[in-house]
Amino acid sequence: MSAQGPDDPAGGTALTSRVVLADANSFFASCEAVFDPSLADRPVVVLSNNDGCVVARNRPAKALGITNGTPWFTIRERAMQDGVVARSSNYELYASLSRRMMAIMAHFLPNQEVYSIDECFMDSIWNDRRTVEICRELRAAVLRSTGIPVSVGVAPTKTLAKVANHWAKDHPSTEGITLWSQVEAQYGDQALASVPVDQVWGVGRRLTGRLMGMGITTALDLRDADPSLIRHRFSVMLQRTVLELRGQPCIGPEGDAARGVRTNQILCSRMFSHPIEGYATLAQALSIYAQKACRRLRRQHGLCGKVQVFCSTSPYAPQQFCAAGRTVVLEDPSDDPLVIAGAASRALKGRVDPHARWIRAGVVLLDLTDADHFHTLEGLDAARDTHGLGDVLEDATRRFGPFRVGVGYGGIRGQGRGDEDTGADWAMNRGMLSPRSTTRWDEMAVAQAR
Amino acid sequence: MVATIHGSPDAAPASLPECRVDALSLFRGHPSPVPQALEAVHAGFPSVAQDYFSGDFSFDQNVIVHPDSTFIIHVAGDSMTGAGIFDGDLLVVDRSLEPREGDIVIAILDDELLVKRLARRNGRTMLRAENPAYPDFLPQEGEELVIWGVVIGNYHWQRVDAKGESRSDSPLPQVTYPGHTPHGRGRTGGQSRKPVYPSTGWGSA
Repeated sequence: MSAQGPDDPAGGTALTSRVVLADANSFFASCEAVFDPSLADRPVVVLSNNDGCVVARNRPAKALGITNGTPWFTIRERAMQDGVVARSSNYELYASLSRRMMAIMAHFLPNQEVYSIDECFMDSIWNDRRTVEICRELRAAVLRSTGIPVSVGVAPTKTLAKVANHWAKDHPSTEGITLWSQVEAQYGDQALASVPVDQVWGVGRRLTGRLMGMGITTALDLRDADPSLIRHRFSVMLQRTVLELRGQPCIGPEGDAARGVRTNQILCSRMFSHPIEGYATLAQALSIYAQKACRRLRRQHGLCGKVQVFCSTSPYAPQQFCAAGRTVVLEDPSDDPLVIAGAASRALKGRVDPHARWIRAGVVLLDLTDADHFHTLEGLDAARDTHGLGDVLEDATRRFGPFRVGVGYGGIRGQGRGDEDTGADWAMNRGMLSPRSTTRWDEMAVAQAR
Repeated sequence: MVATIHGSPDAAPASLPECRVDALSLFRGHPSPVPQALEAVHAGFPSVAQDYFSGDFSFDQNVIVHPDSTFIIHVAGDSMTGAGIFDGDLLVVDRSLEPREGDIVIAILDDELLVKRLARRNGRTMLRAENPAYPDFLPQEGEELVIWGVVIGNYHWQRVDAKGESRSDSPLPQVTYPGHTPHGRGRTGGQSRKPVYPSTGWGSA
């Protein structure tokens, strides 16, 4: 598969392929500045659903000491004085710019694997020098064409490419591109020793505590740990991380399920802007979330076997706290929005306290199978969407935007520009939403002719 | 080479929320008309055109060379009327292009997007308005012009409609359309001519 770069100075002893990880710098905050030049040098934070917590911040906002996860209301006054601009999450804009950015990068290097909304892995069969040249062009093309700055890490393995990418972001002198072999040549083991173990790809917070207990606090400690011991005490996943830190590629394309790439469930859950009461309103919310989940299911050509719904009241009022949930097994696996939305909205009928004040609800689609490969005994077919409703809904959504049409309450559209635009008064609050300049005709950016 | 921006949504990676920019979706959301069968299955003699027809051309696929770096932007103001760009027009802006002298560009000035023509004067680059009522912009020594993107075209809506003065909706006198024969009069005259060409006997007379 991989081949030697024709100008490789190593002379062709081994087939080497380099892993390139390109990752946008403060992606959400960078997107906000694309059509709004006034944000270029100002501190910008992007807030989570319902304008709750800081989920992204640009470099000036980081310099002010604002950290991700901070509830916005606790810092709002101070931040306003510091000239911080806060924006609600503009998912449509981010997705549009992400797609453009990924498409442009795919022109430069092969085997692109889009890992998240703002990062992708690619392969380079070229030697270090040529790889860096290509990455420099890639970076410039993405910056010029979309306005999004990206950082690039180049290393023998994905895990090291992640480390190199962080290195590029932390060291402005790298100009956004870090070649891991160069860092190693320059700093030796000091480089990995400077990376705390919890920042290593695939090491979660839960593992960090246990690793610390074994005296493993840095990436270097983890690299030098005994792989079979790690496998014994933790998992084969973490053993692979150890090997990857040693430069042996172990994590293939598509990543690993445990790293959260492959989904075999689809979750759609939201907080309401204020508590809701009564079964009817709750059923509306569940129906709408089920339709959102169903759209995602259909996009991945899936069928679902079970629909799980849940709801809960505010955890900040522990005396009245209550939660409910139920899993409905569908008669046949289905991708029919009527079946799925119907199951979700009926699931909790008569099973919840009619006076509870619900603050959150969600729908999970489980037991997913690939619709294209679904075969059963003759006569036992999947409850496919044979009436074509799902396609019509998908078409209408593409043409007129989300929530213009839907099953039941799903099609009622409100006046505001709020996320769901369902007209439901519990829909998400996004008071500081920027224009969706690339996806909504009526929110297009404006150029002054004066 | 044009990437399929209107491709099937399934082609997008599952992790990316579906999104696409319908640049110039002036065809009511269907920029690329879907190929249609020209005939029913039992239509007898098959249509000779069917192997040649694979749908009408798409306006935006032909106008937009780089869909991933092209953005549609609204114009506000009349400083560019001399270049045929009017208030309310839509600009097709390609951000991947290197700005050249004479290009109409979107520049960033005072934290705003501005549309101007890129020109040269006395060896210095400047931004020119295309309407004498508006000033040009000459950067100071050492100051740089930040160009957001290059305008490759604009769309100007020509149809008179609701936004103008009220006009009568009744048909205009002395106006017809090709092929229309009012009052049953044929254009080629009334009486049938005597055939002058010999008949092969093939086909209808």
